Amino acid sequence: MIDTSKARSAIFERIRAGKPAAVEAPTVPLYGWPGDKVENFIKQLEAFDGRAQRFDSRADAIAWLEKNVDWRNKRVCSQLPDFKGTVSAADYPDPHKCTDISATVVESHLGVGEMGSLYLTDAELGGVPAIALLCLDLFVLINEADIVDGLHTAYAAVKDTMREQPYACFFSGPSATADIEAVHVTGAQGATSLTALIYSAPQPPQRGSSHPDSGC
Amino acid sequence: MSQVNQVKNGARFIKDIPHRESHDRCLWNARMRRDQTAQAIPEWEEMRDLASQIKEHTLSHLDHYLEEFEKNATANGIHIHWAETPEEHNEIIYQLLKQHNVTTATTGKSMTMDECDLRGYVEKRGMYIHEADLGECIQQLDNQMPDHIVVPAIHKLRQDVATLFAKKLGSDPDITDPHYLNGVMRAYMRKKYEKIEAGLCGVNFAIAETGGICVCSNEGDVDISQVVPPLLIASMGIEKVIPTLQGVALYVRLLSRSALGLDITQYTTHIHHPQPGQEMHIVILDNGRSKRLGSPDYWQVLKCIRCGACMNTCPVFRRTSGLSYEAVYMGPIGCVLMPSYDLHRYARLPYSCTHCGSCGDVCPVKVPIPELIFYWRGVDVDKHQSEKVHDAEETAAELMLRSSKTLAMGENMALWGLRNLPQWLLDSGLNPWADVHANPEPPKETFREYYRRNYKKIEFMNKTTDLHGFLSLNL
Repeated sequence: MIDTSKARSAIFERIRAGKPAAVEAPTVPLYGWPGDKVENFIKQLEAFDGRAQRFDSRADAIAWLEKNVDWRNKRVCSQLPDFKGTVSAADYPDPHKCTDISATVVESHLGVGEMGSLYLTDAELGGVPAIALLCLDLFVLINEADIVDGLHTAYAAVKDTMREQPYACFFSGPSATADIEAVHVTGAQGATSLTALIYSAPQPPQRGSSHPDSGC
Repeated sequence: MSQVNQVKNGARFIKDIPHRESHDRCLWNARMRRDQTAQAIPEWEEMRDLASQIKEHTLSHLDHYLEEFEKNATANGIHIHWAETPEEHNEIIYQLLKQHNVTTATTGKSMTMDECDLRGYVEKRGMYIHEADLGECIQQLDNQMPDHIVVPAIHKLRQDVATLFAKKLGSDPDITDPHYLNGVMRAYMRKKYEKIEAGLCGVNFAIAETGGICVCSNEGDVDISQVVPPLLIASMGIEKVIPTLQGVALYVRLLSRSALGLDITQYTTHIHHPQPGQEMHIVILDNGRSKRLGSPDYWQVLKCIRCGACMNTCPVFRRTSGLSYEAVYMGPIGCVLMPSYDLHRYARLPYSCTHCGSCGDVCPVKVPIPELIFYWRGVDVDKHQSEKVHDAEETAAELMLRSSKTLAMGENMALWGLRNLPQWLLDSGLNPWADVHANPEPPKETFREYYRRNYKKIEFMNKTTDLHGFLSLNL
């Protein structure tokens, strides 16, 4: 590796010599987002060409998955304890191979009403983020109690835990592009569809230790 | 390098009506969507102020935040490199690729890498980096610079892309549907992803307190490049650092809404460590930024978050294309940024402006672009860098505007010229204005003469008003 410490000192020297007079840091309010969190979430996710399904219980959501995931000669990658796919992230020590996954099923513990975003990290993706990127269809379970109002609230919820995750991403709909004549095309290079399965649970489920605040 | 003549380049695009109209329409739609989403958020203007203040705060403590970022990123297992120049930046990356015996590398859109012409550098040394973003890939295959920092191929029509893909990727030249063309691209890239050995990406925000980076993108190509290959190299300018993770929320809420009028990008990704078994590097580039920081006149250009809103709104940019600027950063921000890279080459860019001020109104971090346009024109005049004809005009204007008498002489001369000079001379290259305008009918008198003739009457009517004092000035 090239030693760049000389460049580093030269850059710092110029910054210190020329930086503008100190400007104080402002306080950013924790802006919320008005309206019903779950309804906003669904509306926004659909605006990003995502799909949303609501269920009265987690069991209903799982039953729906059993029926609706495309099983025909396909690899279904599941990270859920209560839904068995044909493979899981553990079967992919080499992420390049994830191109053969047809559907990936995971659970998110944080949704954002303002944008219809689902927060997923290595923790939910079994340490292989490629399962959510190179698959065709992405299914994400979420407890409706885990959907927060706006993005400021979402960042506040993960600010102490995100750093532990190599990869942490707000997924907002399937991959898309508008690079040719600004025509919106869904399904660019990541997943070509994203379905959120929103379930209500009578009692808040036990949350993983990496998301202590995710329900706020 | 020769001086860029944006006016001449732009004139060619203006004449190409189908391309010009499509360019204008696509970008103006983005601007209108931006207004819609912004107006739905009551705190929008407050957010712009805060985003500007955070950037100013960070820039005024840049050494501190860069050190904090470096310390935390290193603790996270990320290798940090520093580059003063594009050559250093490119050499660091080239050496890393070479050490890892990389034959297939993909890159998700990075402005810093474009600024350094990294692709060109490694290509000369026998290595090829595949642009994985659709727009960037189109431009790479066409051997052309990006037209726009967010939508790099927006100046092309679907037929252009179909023809290009047919030639380079073997697709059907007669199918011009963007869905089909996107499918061609997807299939082409999937083959690369099966064997990529290195991924490259840019950085939207580097977070000092956590030592991670945030990248906002739509297509998924950036994330794939980040997490699939065993080597990840990110590239960023020194100004990309912000103090806190909570601050990212504010910028993410502003970025895509300003860029395309969409509430967020499909992927808002944070990388804090390499993946298991992966090696991760970040190259931090100066390339004149620390010098810009030291300028009391234009350090505020460093606040720019590269959303492209100023381009979408600019009446000149929309009709003349981004390519006409022959610059990595085009449009309004390019006009005030590029002269600080190479004053002679980009001296004419600040003249490609109608002074509508719209860029300043939409900028999410309040870069004072309209003021900086005037600043750079001043520098051009002082250093005699602009067009010769501008130089002559400016010298003449300075003489004429010196006193009321010389101005009156100038007015009389202009009227005399309009009345007496032959039409061919009035329409000649000496008067570029006449290229696209008809010369006015010569009036009966100059405004000054008209004013004097009516002076007595007006004075009588306004005897008791303030206007009286104004009118009695010796004109």
